[in-house]
Amino acid sequence: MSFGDIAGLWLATGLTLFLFSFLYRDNPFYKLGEHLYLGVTIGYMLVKLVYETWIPKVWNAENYALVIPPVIIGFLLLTRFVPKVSWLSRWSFAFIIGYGSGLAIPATFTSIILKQAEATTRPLVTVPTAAEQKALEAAEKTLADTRAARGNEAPETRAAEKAALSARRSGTYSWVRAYADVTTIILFLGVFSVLFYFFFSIEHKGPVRIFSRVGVLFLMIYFGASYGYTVMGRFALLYDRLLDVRKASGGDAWFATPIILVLMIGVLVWRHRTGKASEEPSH
Amino acid sequence: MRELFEKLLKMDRRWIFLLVGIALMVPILKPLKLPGLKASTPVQDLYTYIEGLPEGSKVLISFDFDPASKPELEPMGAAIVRHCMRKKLKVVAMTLWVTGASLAQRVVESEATAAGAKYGEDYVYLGWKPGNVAVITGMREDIHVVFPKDSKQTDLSKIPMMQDIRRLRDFDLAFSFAAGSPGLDTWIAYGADKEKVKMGGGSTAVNVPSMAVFVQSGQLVGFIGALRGAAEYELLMNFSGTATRGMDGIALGSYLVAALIILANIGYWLTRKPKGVA
Repeated sequence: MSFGDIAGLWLATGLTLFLFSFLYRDNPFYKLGEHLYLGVTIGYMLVKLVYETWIPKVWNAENYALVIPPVIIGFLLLTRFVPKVSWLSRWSFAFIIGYGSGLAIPATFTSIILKQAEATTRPLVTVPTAAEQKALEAAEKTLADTRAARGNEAPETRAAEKAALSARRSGTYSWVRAYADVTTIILFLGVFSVLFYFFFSIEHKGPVRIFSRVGVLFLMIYFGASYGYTVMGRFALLYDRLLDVRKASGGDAWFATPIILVLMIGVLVWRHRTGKASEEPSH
Repeated sequence: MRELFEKLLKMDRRWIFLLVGIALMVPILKPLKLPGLKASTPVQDLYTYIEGLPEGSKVLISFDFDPASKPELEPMGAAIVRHCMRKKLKVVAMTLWVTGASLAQRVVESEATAAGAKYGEDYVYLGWKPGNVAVITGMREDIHVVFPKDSKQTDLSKIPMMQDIRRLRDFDLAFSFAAGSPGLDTWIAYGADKEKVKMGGGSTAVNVPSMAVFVQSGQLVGFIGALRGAAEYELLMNFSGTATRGMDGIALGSYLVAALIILANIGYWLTRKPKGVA
């Protein structure tokens, strides 16, 4: 490991442990880590924006006439800081909101609302079409002919068997089709019962109440799945940090983890004993 | 029993943090290789789709995440780049997230170097441009205008691979590995659906329930959900990467949380006061 790698590991491990120290209680290590995190992120974004947008697109622009209007619109946003002329920023916001809405509304309507509605409103029970039945007959005939000509073990027969199997799935009412139909019915039931739960124009009692309660069940399943995924996601983040902490604990990283941990615990105990820790809110 | 549960319910939650930390640390110290990992249908579909692409097909990969989501999205990004390199597909990588620019570059370059791919002929990294939706809509018209230079400041017109790639519709497949917005849904709404480009993608665990709907509607050819999905993809690719190794810890942590939820519910029922008692 190069000196740069070791320095990087010390920094990564140190900041990780500093931020994890919040689990004990608020403390100066955590504050240092938090402020560095925000500062570095903002600094990085600023540098990127200056070097990849401002300099090439504005400073070194090929045609300043095209650049001046958007730059003025951008600068007008800053008038929010001067109350007397803050009304000028409305021009910028009008442009941003108008442009954004014009772009977002049609795209969202077609790609999100219509496509999702289309995917929801499918036939609840499907039967094989005439074309699918014809395709099945053709696939079965091809399989029989290939078997007769090439035998059972030939690769061509295997391919024909695969094609026939696929045709059987669509050409007959197979379990695959039944599974798809059941899924469509559950989806339909879920969408409409959840929508009904939020429909307040009629009183929810009797069968209406039962239907809206079904909607609640679907909502709870969704929230449960979301919660489970969120927990899984947080574990993935924690796992990654622990990997770095583990990596930095050995001799090749100059024992970064144990040294930082001992120093941190030492300082926290000293602060606790001298009463300085009591100034910070406990967890 | 009731007293025990009363004590447990009042327990300092920092003990739970410690337990979770231990549950995730154990497999790092000693890998358990827990069984049961199997590719789900959306992951399998994505793999099969890439397998079916002919050599030289053009693939766009947008790494739309920042360091905060790196542990979940980097493994799937690496697996897809590796698969594309193995299939000898032409990869154009980019990002819509300014804080993800160097992460994306690292993933693409490490996988490309391992595969012996040549920059400019087999892969290109365009980097980041501001504008989010404007970048996508601009790419629909002319990629060379939105990205006049790549991340190495080479003119796109001088890169051999980019001669045939001018618009979004020139790609045979596009990907977005997204931690939020702009991300997968942005690419679908403003890019893929408009240009009829096949789209695949992956997201962080938090976003899986809201992104999975695009699989059902057929707007995605396949989808990788979080670290678990990445581990499934690694399984199909027949290699054990960060995601596969991480599944042990995540499984143990999930079992622990499930056990604590059950325990807390039992505790709640056993210790609750009868109705009318203050």
